[in-house]
Amino acid sequence: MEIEKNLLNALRQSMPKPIADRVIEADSNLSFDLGIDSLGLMTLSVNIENAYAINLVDHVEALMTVKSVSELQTLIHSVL
Amino acid sequence: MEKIRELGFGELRMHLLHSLGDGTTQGALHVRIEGELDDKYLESVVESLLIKLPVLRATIQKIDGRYYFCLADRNHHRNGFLDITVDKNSPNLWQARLEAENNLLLNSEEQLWRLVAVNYQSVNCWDLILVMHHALMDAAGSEFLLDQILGCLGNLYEIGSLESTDNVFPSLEEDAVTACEWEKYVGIQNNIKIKLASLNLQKHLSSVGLNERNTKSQYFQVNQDLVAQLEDFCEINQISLNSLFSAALLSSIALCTPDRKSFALFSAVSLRPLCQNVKERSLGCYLNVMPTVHSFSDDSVSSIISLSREHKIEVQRAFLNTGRWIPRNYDVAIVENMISTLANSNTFGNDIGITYAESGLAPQYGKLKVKHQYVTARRNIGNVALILHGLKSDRDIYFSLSHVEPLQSREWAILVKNKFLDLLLMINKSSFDTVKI
Repeated sequence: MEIEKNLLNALRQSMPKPIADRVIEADSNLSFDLGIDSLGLMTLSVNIENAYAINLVDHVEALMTVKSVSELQTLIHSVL
Repeated sequence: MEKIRELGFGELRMHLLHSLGDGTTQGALHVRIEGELDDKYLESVVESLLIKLPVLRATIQKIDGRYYFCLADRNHHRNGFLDITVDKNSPNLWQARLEAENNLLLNSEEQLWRLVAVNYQSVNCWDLILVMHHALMDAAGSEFLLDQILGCLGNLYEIGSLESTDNVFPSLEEDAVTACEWEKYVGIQNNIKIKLASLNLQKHLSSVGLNERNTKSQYFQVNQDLVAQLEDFCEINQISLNSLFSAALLSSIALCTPDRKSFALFSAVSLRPLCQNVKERSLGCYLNVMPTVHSFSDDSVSSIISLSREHKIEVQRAFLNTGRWIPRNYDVAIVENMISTLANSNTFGNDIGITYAESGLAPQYGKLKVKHQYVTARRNIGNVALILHGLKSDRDIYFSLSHVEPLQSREWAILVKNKFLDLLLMINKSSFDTVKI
């Protein structure tokens, strides 16, 4: 699965600064590989909403179960 | 006085609450240091900081009906920021000292922080107490300030190379990518009120005037062995330590308050990542609280895990629904009126607050070792009747649990604290059982 540029940007903006240049792959784990903790997930959700012009309020539970980048991309497309 | 910028909505709200004379927005951070205090050098460091970081001289002034941060002159009140004393009492009595210092309210028109260094005669340790107005600094900002001071005292940093910042710190309201117009903010807040009101939450106690209330705190430590076990437990169950503590707090309060089934919890969340111009350690306050509502089922480990997961999801939901929206403008008269009515209020919010963070201080600064850190705040007015502050420093976690007398009794608060610790120990024991299986 190719990661969309919008999603890559949103992820990079939400990752901790010291590791923000880390390689992001479809199977990267949001928490372990990209350092996105629960606070980072809040920032990420805002960045995704802005990048895709969608509203994630009604999809919080699904968002919280997402583990990998590919799962996140799938979730975004289910909302679009 | 040099006018630097107008207060944002959150800052104005904190300033007006503070002006009621209650000190709701005043907090204090207590750090115990092992090693020798060079008090003359400490004076030099604080004086240098006041020059390097002009915002430390910020005050709040009302000019032509609006409120501004203004910079006091360099020599204005220069001795009022630092108080070095020798305490003849036992160093074990630091809790009373911390509360006494935090009960001395800052005059926002003169200064927004002060530092107290307490030396003891017979032991090789001393204390730093940073009393702060939250309009000027949140926990990250206060730790940045203490880090600069301790770094100099521990000979890690040179006074001349202390970090400097701009004359003004960024405003959450102007800088957050989720800033919104006042009308939208008011609509969102009204929706929350309707939701919370529909729960018909019972008050702990009511009808006690503001000037009859007194915040009392209990301080306790969770040592690194238990913390490590709890962290493992969280990883296995995919919950955060913050949510685990929230669930344990909710459960302990429910067990000590049998006549209530539902509780609102206000979790503090830093919105710094939403502010592009805010440095990791900028001064200023970038916190917001996420209100969530929970029901208690029982104190089994599985129920606490469920409650922790529910808390994690609900905080995220509260953030997306309400907590991210920050009003970039406001009507001064409406805000003034909203706060002034609280002065004569004899009712009281009935719910619970939690803050948990990892300390920004290093465990050691040269020969100076940080022995413990505790946060305290006055809660006489506000939405929360009981608040737990947790601060992880090195590998231990330091908690303070504050209640307000006579709204809540000391006996009840002690029961809550003991139950909270019992639950953490029970969770820890269960994680051992899991390993055995």
